[in-house]
Amino acid sequence: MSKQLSSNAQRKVDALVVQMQQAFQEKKWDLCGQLCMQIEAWEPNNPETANVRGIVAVQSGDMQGAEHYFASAVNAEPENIGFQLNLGKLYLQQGVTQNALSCFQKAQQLKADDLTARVGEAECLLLLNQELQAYEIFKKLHQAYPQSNHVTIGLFRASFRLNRWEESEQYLQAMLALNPNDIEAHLGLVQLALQRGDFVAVEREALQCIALNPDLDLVYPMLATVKTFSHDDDVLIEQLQKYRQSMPKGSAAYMHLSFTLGKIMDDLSEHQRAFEYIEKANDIRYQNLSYDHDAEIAHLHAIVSLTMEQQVQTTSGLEDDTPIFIIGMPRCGSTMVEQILASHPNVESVGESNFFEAAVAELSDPKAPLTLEKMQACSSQQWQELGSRYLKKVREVHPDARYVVDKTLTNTRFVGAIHQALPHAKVIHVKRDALDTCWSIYKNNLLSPVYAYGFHLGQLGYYYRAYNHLMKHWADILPEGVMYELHYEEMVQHQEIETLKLLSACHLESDDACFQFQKSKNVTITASQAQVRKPMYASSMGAAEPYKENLQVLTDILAR
Amino acid sequence: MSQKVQRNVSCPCGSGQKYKKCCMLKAKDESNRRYDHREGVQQALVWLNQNYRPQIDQWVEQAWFTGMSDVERQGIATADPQIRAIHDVNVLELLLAEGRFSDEESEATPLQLVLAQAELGLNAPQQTYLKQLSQRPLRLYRVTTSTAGQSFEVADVLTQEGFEVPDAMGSRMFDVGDVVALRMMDTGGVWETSGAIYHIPSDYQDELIQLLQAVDSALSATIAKFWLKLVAAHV
Repeated sequence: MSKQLSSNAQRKVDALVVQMQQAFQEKKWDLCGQLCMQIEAWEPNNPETANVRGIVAVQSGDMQGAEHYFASAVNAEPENIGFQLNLGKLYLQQGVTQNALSCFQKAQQLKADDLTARVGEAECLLLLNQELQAYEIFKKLHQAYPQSNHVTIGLFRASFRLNRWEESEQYLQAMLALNPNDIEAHLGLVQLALQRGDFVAVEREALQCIALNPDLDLVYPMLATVKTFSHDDDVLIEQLQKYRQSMPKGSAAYMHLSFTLGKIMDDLSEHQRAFEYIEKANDIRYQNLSYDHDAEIAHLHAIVSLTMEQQVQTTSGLEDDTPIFIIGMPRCGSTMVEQILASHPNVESVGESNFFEAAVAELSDPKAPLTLEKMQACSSQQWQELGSRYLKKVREVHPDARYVVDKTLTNTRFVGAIHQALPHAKVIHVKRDALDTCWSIYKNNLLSPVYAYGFHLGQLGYYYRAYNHLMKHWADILPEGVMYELHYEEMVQHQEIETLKLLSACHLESDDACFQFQKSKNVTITASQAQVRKPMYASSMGAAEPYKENLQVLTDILAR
Repeated sequence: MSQKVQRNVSCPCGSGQKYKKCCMLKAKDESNRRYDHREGVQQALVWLNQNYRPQIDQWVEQAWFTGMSDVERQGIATADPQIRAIHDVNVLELLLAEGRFSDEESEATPLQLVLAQAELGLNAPQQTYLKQLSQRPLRLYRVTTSTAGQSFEVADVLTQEGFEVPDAMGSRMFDVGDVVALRMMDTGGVWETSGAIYHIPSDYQDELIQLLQAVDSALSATIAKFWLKLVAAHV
């Protein structure tokens, strides 16, 4: 705790703070820095200087420094809404979503109707897969602030995540009606085109975004997703490299551009350069994340510890066989399997709905959360309650579907509970070569916080091992026939036979549409969206092979 | 605040190589070694849970919750979920490090049972690490520096011995001045914490320090019991 300043000293500090804020507004950085030092000489923990130093740190890409300064400012003056918002925005940018949400909620306690805090809260909810709550907040805000771009683009994102494509496009068109060159609206059109599998539109809109603002780091990864680069694109590639060099090292823009250049170098078969770009990008994400790897691994092992064979025999008795769960690691081919199944006329998809975990949360008492131990002691009636809640959510989206696919990959943790709640549900476990899976995760910059283990080869390797251990456990303790294991490589090599086997495992008749799944109108929101629009993707087999030497540490961990 | 080393500059260790080809790789190796140790601990706990569940339950009753009133136990059961998660890690680690099943005919401890179990497939570093758990009791430390996302330093409250711990996650959990009980593990000259964390709020630090000064051994049990009472009272 710093000692109390005398009245004179306090007046002096207050005057200096005013001067510093003015220098900051006028972007007189040197003067601003000098004034910060003068203030700190009087008052080392002055929150205003910490806040300004935090903002400067963000601008120079020093996210760790920014976190330190913003947190100091908040600790010194927790009632200052501006400090809470700055820390919240930084955490949001770093993917520390729960912490960001907490800051935005504290900010609202200080000022209930603060627009930035409300928008920030809704952005966090979107990242935490609570799309409906986010949508409702944005919708209310849109009524109050119809001209606010932050709100309208937020409403676009929320409706987009809820698969409401036409509605989401309306918001973009409204923004473009106000300003035809609105860059965020054009960026939204790129996203929509990507989801609709309209690659021509993706490239057209992306190039338009670049023409409007070549310094738009987010558009390049989307362009790279659909475009295979060649030396015909050398001018664009050089432009990208220069743009990356101009960005502060460690900034989000530098990271996005590094991932993109990694993909481009991969297209050009310049593998060493590709790996260096991808490694650099991952190092930035890793350093800026607050992810508790030990806790995550302990959690996966605790599931194995606590779920025994005799316990999974207690079920709800529900006979509903509507749900088909697809589980596995990200980038394992689950999107392809979802599309194959959802192409069938009797099958719909709820995508990565997170409905099962939401149903578990609903049953949980906030004062005494439903822990793994407690779940093991659930009665048939409680499992029935859980199963019914899940089915209700599914029926709200697809009231009449005979079967519904749920591709929430984090359901790997709930396989036992899914069987206990819905004993007639099918579970499809998609497996792909471990090294190819991990490499694909590493190079694809997965945005959801649930994949935070994917930015460090060691964490990735040990996470894969824990996942593998868990899946073996489910296979050991579940009754035969509950879980079907599908191997991605076999599906790619023998599409017809494997598709028939998959349909049979789901008790579905053969249908021609399932063999031409890439024409399906079902759309999904994952990093696999571009691949799934192409016929079977044989080139993804052995994708890690050219990077074998770079990935030696991962190979060693996976082989242990 | 420490200056971050850029990837392409000469390594500060003086090897003449670029940082990214030298100590940056070593730092990654260290974190991988740490993950390997933790995997060994987790595998040991899964095996114990699957094979000695009644004995574990009995140990938790007799050793961990001993002397706790029903009100205190209810307090622990209704603690904040994050505190509960820390509680679960702490209890299982203490069992593995220093526990003893009272009704076992043999004198084997859970740790000895684990180490004797070939089917677990623990590698040599994992076995060494597990053995070290029993040799390093919990001790009370004061956090002296913390660089978010990189490392933190602590000093033993009783002996003033200092330790630097390269741990990105830990550095975000601890603020300078925090007093926390940890099990400090030596992994070939690099210190890491074992996983258990017993945060002691400032109002209670003096009381615990006095208690620890009065006991020669049983440091872990004293710290665990003291911390558990605080959790029960939702301090």
